[in-house]
Amino acid sequence: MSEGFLKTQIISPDNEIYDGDTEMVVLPGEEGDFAAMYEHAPLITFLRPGKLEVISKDEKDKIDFFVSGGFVKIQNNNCTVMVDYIKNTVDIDVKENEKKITELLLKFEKEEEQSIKDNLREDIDLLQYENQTLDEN
Amino acid sequence: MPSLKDLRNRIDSVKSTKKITQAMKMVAASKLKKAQSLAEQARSYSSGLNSIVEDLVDSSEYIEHPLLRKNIEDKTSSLIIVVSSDRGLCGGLNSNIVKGVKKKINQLELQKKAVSLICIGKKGFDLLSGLYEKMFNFEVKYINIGEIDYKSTQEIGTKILNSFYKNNFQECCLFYNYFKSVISQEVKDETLIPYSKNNNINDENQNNIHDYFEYEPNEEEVLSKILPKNFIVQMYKAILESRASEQGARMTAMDNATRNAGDMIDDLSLRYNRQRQAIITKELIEIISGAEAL
Repeated sequence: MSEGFLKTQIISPDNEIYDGDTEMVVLPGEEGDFAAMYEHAPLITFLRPGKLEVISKDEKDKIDFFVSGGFVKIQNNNCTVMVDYIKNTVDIDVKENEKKITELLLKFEKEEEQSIKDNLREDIDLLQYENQTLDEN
Repeated sequence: MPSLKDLRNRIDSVKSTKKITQAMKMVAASKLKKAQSLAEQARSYSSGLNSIVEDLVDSSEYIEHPLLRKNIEDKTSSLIIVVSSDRGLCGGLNSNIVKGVKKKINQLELQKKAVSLICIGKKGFDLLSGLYEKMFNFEVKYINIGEIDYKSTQEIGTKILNSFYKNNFQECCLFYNYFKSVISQEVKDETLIPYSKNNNINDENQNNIHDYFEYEPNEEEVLSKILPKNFIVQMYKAILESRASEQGARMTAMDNATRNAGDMIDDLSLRYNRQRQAIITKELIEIISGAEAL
């Protein structure tokens, strides 16, 4: 255990998902996963869709989240993660997602208006990323 | 002088009004709790994002981005986003916003700039469309604020940004009610495009010693991702603030209305009883004088 902790805050526009002292946070950076610990250099970067791991300070809890992307700012042992969409991996149901994906794909094929199509595409991508994240475990 | 029956009718109608306002107050109070906590959550998100943008802009003055452009001479038209409520009966909330917007429009017109308007919330549109019908030239004129969530804010925000990239307007400002407390709301006028630093509400972090950040992959890319995002998030924050303000304002307005209705009932009851007494006295006098005449 290190001598200090990284204070981590995970926030989405509607909610504060996590706030507490952590040993380590593993983040899905745009150019590859990286971990942040105590005394990390000041950093600003953005995230790709993927898995975010939080390991609490006594190394007792390990929480996995799926994030759709967002921004991270690390400064003075404070780590602020701002995400659009976040879900605890425990709540992800692969089979349910696959069902949804097939449904959405059908809709996508039938739909003609481009803006709705784009929206559907986004939803499908998100669900696929979710499943991929779980597969990696 | 109104008859007894008239007075009774009035008392009854004021009583039922009182019941309605009381119920509305209760409803607003329970909605307020939720709206307030949402607004407070959004504040931490938006101020977090804002602080990143600020750090970025501070640390790299040479960076160029359309949303940062500040050359004043080519600004010919501007867009105003007005965030109001969908329904009335919330005190001076909407008229205050409209007053602010009118002032701004006059200012911009003096500078010979074309103005476009978008309303979020039906009341603002109702109040402004009569005066400035031609200014609602954007593809969407108004959206009901009750139906908006983060996703639809993203959609509308992207539309507005696309229109900006097409050079339809060069600056954009946002009017909304900032939720100070349940009893006080403040009209805020924020310039979203070009990005300016004085938008910040939280001044507490101002004296921070400046850290040199690492940017991954590089500053330009982070900036080009975060600026549009910041625009949308600021919009979303304004919507949530406005919603909380609406409930707060309605609660106080309805509280006042209930109290006034109570006063009115007391006053009317007093008049009613006096008149009743007067009629009884008159009848008694008639009977007594009739008996004396015999």
